[in-house]
Amino acid sequence: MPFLSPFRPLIDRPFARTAARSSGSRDPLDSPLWPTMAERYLGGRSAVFDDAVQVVLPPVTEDQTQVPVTVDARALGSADEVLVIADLNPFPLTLRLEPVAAKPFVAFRMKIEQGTPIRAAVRRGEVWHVGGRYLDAAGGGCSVPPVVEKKVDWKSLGETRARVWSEVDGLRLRLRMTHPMDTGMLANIPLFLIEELSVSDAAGTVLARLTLQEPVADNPTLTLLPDRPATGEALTLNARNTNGTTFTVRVPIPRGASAGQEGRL
Amino acid sequence: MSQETTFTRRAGLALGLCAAALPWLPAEAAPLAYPLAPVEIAPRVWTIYGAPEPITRANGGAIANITVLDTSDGAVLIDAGPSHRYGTALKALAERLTGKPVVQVYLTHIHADHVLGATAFDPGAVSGGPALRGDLKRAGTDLTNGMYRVAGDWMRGTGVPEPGRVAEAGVETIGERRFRILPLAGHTREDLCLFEESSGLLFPGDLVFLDRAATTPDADPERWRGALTTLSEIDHRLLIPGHGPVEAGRRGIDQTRRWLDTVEARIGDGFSRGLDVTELMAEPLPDWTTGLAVVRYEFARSVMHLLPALERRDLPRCTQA
Repeated sequence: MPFLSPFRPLIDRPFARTAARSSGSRDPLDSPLWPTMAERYLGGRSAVFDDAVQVVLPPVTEDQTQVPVTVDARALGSADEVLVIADLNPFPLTLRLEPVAAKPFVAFRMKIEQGTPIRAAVRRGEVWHVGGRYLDAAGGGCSVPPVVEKKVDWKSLGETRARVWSEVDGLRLRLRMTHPMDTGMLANIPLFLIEELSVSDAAGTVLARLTLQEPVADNPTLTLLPDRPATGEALTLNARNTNGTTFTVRVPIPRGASAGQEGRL
Repeated sequence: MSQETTFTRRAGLALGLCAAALPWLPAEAAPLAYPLAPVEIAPRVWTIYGAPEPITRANGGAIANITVLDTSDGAVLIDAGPSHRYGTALKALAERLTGKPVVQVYLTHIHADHVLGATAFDPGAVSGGPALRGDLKRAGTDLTNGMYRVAGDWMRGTGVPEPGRVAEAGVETIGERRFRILPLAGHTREDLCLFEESSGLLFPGDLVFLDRAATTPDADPERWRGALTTLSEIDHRLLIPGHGPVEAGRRGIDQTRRWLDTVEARIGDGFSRGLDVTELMAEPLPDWTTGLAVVRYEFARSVMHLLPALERRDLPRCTQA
């Protein structure tokens, strides 16, 4: 027991899982790797577990190479940085979002190696607010886990599909890029990722900056909630892959007239 | 010192023996057994109803309907259940009900809850559509892996079936019964439906779900609707859905179509409003669906199956700036 104590400051109630509090410093998911994760990725700042940070997962994992994850920390208001960490993945750090002028929200798809906690750590100043849920591995229903026969669409590498919606309190951006996210872990397939992605307004001011890591699923498909820029009729997406190729596209912003009608209620 | 060491070794040996013996104890005490409860739905025809649930460690995957038909030549089965253990029990049950050996097992489609029990039967007596054997060879191991994970010990001894016979379109006569084979598709890429002409029993496999939400992991909704139209034109006396109660009439066909329409419409609507997968999963469903089992679960799965295709196809393509 004593060797556990540095990992679990509240060891006095080791079995009190049901008595989880809405915020605290004890990992509600009881993951033995969390202290290592915190040390590696949280830069020595303090962390509290906080229900205001929601990680939304599907009720069953259909495809371990395309697990949909939504991180929603809008209940915190604004944030400086959002990290997504999967404790038991070979590459735990999944994604880093700087919501410069955007809500602390991101939806995306990821690969998992096995059942693992999926965390979101949201930094406000010097404090990380951490939320998360356990994601079970594939298998269920009457589905066949897909045979890994990956096809890469080289002809349309970098092709970007995207759309912006006007919502009551800002914009909603959905995008899908045709691009493999090769981790470098398979024989003879080197690392090849979209590494950086940013969303800017017409003046070039960055609204959201993303760093994508190995676990992000092939053909990155993302939802972000940027603020409505004061001027300009389009957002600019800038992406760069690990080969240094850049991709830049413009996504029109629907006119203000349709705001609230077309938007999500 | 040496005395102590000896003690430790002896203790260790004893402990080791206990540990080796332990795993057998629960298995001997309470072997898992499927409580197969056949219901006679027509003269000399019995259906074993599947649980209206997802596959779990509690139900051992016994969620699909399995039917036994008596013929003068022997017993005929429609589907074989989720595991070798189920297949073995099913074989014994069919022999007891009919007093004859099993001469034919028709597998309707590749999903685990229907096919994995087939290893309990002589491969020469197991029939499927033309692609089933190859599909099982390719994806069978993934299928069993997934089932071992979800259902656990129920799956012990389960391997990948190798159907020895292809059921071609046409009529196969077994004893006094005439099975019309209808090769359809939509729930999966190959759905084998059977219509037993002498009794008017229609076996649409998982093209028809009743009072349980249909599953879509390998679905092609457009082809599925076409198959439902074909099925609705067959003048049957009783319909035995892949999941759900056996009934006369076409309620199952209509309900499955309505569910497919509802799921596609909801997902299309959510997509056009910019919802991502987990957001769409939480969207409300129409009131009529509350009568169906596992609605939220299957809707969530369908979002994962069907939304990515819309994103790939219907999000506007951007020109490089």
